[in-house]
Amino acid sequence: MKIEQAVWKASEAWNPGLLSDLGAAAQLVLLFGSTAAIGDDALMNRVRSLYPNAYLFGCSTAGEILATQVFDDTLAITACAFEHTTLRTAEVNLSDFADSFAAGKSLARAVSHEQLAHVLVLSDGLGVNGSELVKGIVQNLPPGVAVTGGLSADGSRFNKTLVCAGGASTSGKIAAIGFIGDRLRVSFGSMGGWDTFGPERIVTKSAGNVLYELDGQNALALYKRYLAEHAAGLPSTGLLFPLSIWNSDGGQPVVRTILAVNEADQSMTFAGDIPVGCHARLMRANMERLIDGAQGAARTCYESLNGSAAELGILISCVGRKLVLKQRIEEEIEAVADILPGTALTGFYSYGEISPFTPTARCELHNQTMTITTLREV
Amino acid sequence: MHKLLARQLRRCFGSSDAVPADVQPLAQLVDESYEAFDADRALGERSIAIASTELTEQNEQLQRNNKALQVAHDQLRQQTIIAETLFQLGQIIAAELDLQKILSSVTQEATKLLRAQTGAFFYNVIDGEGQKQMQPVVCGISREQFSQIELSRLTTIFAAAFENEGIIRIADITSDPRYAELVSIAGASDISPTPRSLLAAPVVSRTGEVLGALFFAHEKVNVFGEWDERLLRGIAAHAAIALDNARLYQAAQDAGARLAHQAQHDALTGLPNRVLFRDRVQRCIERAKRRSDYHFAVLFLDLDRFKVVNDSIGHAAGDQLLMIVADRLKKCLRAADSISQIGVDFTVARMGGDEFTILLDDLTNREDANLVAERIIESLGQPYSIAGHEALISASVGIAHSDPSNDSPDTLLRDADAAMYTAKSGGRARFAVFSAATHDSALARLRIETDLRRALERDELRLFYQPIVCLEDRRIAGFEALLRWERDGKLIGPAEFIPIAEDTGLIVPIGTWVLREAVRQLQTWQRRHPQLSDLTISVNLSRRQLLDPKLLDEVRDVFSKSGLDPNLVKLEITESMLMQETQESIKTLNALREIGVGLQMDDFGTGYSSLSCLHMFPLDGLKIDRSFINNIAGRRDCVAVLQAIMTLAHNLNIKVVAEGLEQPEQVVLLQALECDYGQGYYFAKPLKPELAEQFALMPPVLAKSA
Repeated sequence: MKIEQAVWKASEAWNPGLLSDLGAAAQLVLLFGSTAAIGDDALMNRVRSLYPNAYLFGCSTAGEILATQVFDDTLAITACAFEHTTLRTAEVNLSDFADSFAAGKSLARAVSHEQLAHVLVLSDGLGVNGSELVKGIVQNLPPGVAVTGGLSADGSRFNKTLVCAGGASTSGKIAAIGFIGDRLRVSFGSMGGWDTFGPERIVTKSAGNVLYELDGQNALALYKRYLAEHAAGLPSTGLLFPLSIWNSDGGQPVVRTILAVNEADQSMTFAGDIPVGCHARLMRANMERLIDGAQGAARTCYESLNGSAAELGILISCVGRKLVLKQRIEEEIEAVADILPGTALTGFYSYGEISPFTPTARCELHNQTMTITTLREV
Repeated sequence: MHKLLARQLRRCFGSSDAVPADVQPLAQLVDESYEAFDADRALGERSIAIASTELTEQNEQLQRNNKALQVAHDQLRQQTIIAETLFQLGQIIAAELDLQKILSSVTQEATKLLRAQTGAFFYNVIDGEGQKQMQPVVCGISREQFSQIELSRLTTIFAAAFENEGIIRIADITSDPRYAELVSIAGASDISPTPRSLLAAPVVSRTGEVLGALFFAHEKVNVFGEWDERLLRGIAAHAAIALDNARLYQAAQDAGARLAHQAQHDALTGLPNRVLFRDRVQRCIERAKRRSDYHFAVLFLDLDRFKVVNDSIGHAAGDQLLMIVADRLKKCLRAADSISQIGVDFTVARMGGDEFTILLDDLTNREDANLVAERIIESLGQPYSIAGHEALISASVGIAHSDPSNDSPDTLLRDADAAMYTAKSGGRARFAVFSAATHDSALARLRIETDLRRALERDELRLFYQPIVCLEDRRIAGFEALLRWERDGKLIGPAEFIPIAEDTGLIVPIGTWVLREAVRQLQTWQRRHPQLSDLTISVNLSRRQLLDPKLLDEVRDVFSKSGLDPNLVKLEITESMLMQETQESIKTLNALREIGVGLQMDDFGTGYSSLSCLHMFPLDGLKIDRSFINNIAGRRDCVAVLQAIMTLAHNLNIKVVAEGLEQPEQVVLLQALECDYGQGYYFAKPLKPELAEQFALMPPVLAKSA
């Protein structure tokens, strides 16, 4: 696999100077950028002209990752020329389906192939029920094929997210790439690193990914009590207190972050399901632990690489982590790079991460995690 | 700018304004970091504080929950105690039969459990006269103190309260105007301290009857709570079960005693029954074994023709008659004591039906038994007035004396019974003493009875036919079918077995057989000889047959199956039957006439010979008994009577048959008296069917000399 990377900044244009070596050889260009950049048709056309045979695949973000740096308001591109792998792409519009599950099912069917090695999915970040989408994909993929990916973001604005598939960027879109071939080695890992604190609560009223009450009390009021003056920054400041939820049957806890609040019906919309009867506990950040978490995800990847270096690492990390780590955000990327030296890194800060915690676990939608997918052709 | 950064810049550059331009972006980043750190720390501390508050609240809530749980736990424990106590009470009730002890236990346990100072249980019992009596059981108060309370006043107060409220729970009766009277009652007694808290409940049976009431009191106010009320409800339910059970137990005991009496006594007359009588005879037998001078007798008494009386006057009247008989028996035996100095102990018993037995204990003379028998026969022979009617009935008595070789009451009873039959066959209303001969004849009779039951199925019955001749022209008018029994190759006459058939009821199937056979025979003759188409056949109808509800159906069946003209058949009924008959049997006779059969009065002249009764019955024939005919030679008065009978009968359009004609003079005389028909050895004895057939075919002149 041959890879070349560049970042475009409104102020500085391309860096490094966009002199494509791969050119027509590239089959895939991953693009992560601000909503403005991804939505900029001229910019897109420029990329397409550089890689005329590549499939342009990307989304809007809350921060772009390239190598060990994190950028805002840029477009980070990674062009890939596979030697033994072909791609199968698909895109759907959420509005064409009754629900997210059906959309996921349609995508999975479209990319399925007998030599399907892995699926990478990017989804609209606001209008989707990520849990249902993942369920729809996973249940319709051939056995043993995993899916990773994430929900697109819009900075900390939660306003408009875009998915770019084949160069056209629209909201309400979900796109997927199926990697076909038996010489691609895929590894992945995901970890949060947040601390739970305070009382354990029970979800007493919810509908899908919309939460109303915890322990019979208004959930939004609870958040406002904890956020105090930060409550004005909802929904993004809600990311400071993610919710850890788990079933009473002993399943692994998953983390949920807030996508939206509705003052009218006092509800909060999360990036995944919050079923009634679940146990829930607030979480808060500990910077060192977040960074350790990112490194943990990288270590999970590394363990299944059997000592070989991956060629490409796609890092999808949560916007909530960036909000907390602020100036220290690059520390978590550096922590990953320490474990995966020699691997080209790209990725973005998202509204939701899709991955199994480990290569053998069930694929789920996560929040507040660092999720890493590595690719290597052999 | 963050204060710390401002201070650091001042230290490095003298003043924060003096920061070189190329350092300013760094200062900016550092400032942001400091601010973010502070904000993060503030947010972290705040969230920890809030979480801590929340946890404290949760903890408090848990403690509250714990308290509620403790309360619930205490209640549960209380309930368990109640359940255990009620269970123990249930066990006491189940294990103890003595009601007094049960109620004492219930009252004591309840007083203890309710933490009352005094407890009382008033309950109703039914006394010997069937009256309700109120009984008290008390606890924590002496009977003496308690007896000062006027129970009746108390009852009135609470009856009304229970009616309204069921269980009564009063915090303080002294401040409750409804119980002012109760307070005054308590004040009037020297019960101290005066009760204030009160808890009371009615004890109600499953059927809703108030069986009693439970009361508990305490000198303090407001002692009893809701739990106590619930507990009392359970206790009252248990007490009700105890009282209910006690009643059932009493009822079962009464029933047992009644059953024991019933087992030994006759329900109708109240006399000892066979069981008790046998017992007493057995005791006499034992005594006779020990004392050679001891002697006793068993009398067996049977009412003559009781079945007839019973069937005709109805069973209710029959029962009444039996009760009078029992009464007379007792009276005349008691009288026997004093009047004739018989000096015996006696037992009168009813064996069943119209059979009575008498045990004469410790007889000094054997003949004394005869005296008693005579007295009984005399007493029972007096007219009976029953339901406005006067009835006459006689009794036959058999006597069996104790015999050292006899050690079974049944043997003695059987012997007395056999002697009774001897008396009966000797002409009724008399007594007979058992002897070896009696025994033999009784055995013979028993054998006949057994064999007779099989005679029908073995086809041992035969009909003989005695011609009935028209006296005017000596023509054969018909035959009387007469029954014989061919037993072991010998022919037995009706006198030997018909009474037994009557007694056993066998006469009904036998009578039906006779009718069918006679009809069959007549048809056979008439088919063979068309000139015999006027020939009639007479068949005797027994009393039992006449009373048999199936008779009419049987008769109809005979004619519908055979097709014979019913006019050719004459049913003969005895005078005594007609005299005793009721509306029911007159209906039967009329129905028989409607079928078309003729009805003849048989044996006229042996009984009442009541001419005035003739017109009451739908008769078309009259047979003058042979005993009457035997007497007519040389007796003018008899001739006059015969003359009167003929005139009356002819006026009523009734044909007359003279039976037992043996002498030519008799025939001449009756012919002169215009008697219609004659029957007897003068013409012919009863003939076998073949001979009778030949006889019927003979010309009238020959018939005379056959």
